Amino acid sequence: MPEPLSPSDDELVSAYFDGEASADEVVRVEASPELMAEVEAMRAVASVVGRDPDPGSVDPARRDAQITAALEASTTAANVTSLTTSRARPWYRQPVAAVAAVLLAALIAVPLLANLGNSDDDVATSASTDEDGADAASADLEGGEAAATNTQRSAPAELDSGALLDADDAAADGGAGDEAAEAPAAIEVGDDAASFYARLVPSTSDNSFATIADAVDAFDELTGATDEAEEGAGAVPVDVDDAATTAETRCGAIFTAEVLVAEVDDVGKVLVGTVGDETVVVSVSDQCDQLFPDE
Amino acid sequence: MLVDAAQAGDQRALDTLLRRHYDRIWAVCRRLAGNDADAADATQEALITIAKRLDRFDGRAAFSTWAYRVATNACLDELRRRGRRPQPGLPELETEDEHPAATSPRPVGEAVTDKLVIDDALAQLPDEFRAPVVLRDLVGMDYAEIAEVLSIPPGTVRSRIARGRRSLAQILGNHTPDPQRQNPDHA
Repeated sequence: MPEPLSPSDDELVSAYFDGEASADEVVRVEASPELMAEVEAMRAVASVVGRDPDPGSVDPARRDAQITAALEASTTAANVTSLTTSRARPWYRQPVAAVAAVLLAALIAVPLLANLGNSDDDVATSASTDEDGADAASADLEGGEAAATNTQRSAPAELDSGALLDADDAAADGGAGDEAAEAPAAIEVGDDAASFYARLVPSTSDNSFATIADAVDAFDELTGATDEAEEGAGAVPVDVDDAATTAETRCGAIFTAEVLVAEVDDVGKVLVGTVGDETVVVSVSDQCDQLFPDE
Repeated sequence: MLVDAAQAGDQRALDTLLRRHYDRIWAVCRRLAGNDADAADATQEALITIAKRLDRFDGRAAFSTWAYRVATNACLDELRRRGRRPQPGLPELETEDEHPAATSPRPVGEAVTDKLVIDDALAQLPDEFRAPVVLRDLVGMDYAEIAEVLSIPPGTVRSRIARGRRSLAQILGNHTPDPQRQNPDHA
């Protein structure tokens, strides 16, 4: 009766069979008739596992339905990049409407001021003031969004993701995006991604989580988000795998404010927490690929 | 190229791509799940995940490798979400660090051509052993890829595949179908 293999011989034979053995191990296996016999036994087992399950068990109707569902899901995903871009913009966020509003304000202001007998210089000053006022009003309407003003973004925790300007939107709205990039009021000297993000959303306890999945659950609870609701709002649903992958591979570190400045408007809703020693950022908008393209 | 077209939003190309790989994705999920019902749900999740993440495929690996990797993760997570827990393990496999007294497997006989026998044998392996064996022997992933998919070190992949195969050999070599055990597909 042959001697049973030791566990280490098992690994050796298995690795040899898989082409994963080192050169030394290959020599050792091939020098042993016993080990080579075990390789053949291993091959028999592997061939059984490698055999496709009964192809007849695939129901063609189910296959068609599943592929159709996947195609529909891909369409939804392709049409949506983030909560902010997917939500309908109010009129004052429409570029044409914003310009028209400013012009209208100027048109009203000029004759009004002329009737009051002000000088041309006064008119120009007033028109300018009104324009600034319109911008400020728009910023107020946008829930404190400071991109179009130099006002410090106050109480970011009160903002929802809809209040975050999309970078493209901001640019289209008269270059506000550039201003946001140059002077993001929400970013403070010495800030980092974690502290910045943390101000965007209310804290849930200490934001410490045992697992990333727990962080995602907390995020969902925080935002009241369900996959269905998020889909209804046009968001890419958060799924644990996706969030875990994103958080672990791309958002697992604390990034500097400088990185965020350019792209912060694409982030959408986020939650910051810690898992072990790592800071994790869970984002509903799934924009980490864009945020950290080199990761 | 089909993948390029699908990434560009061509739904017909994506449809073709998914159909081309459907059978293998189904097979992976079927082997991991152990029954048709769970495999169907896991396959659906896998297809949706592939379709939605297609823009992330960068062409560094073959599309099939990437797709099976995504599918495997989707399947495993779907099973976890459904609350599936590892089947009662073989006594010698219950702890990673306790090596069983290894014995040579009996020859794998003709009985293993029976689908139910294979399912039964795989179902007796705890998930942590079944998954790497399936990924290696059915999908053909190398150890590094399996390590990445399962988030375990390559050395652990190596030992788990070896021990999983050893146990399968013992199960299949000794297999006597349990008349009390009903396959979920036929229950």
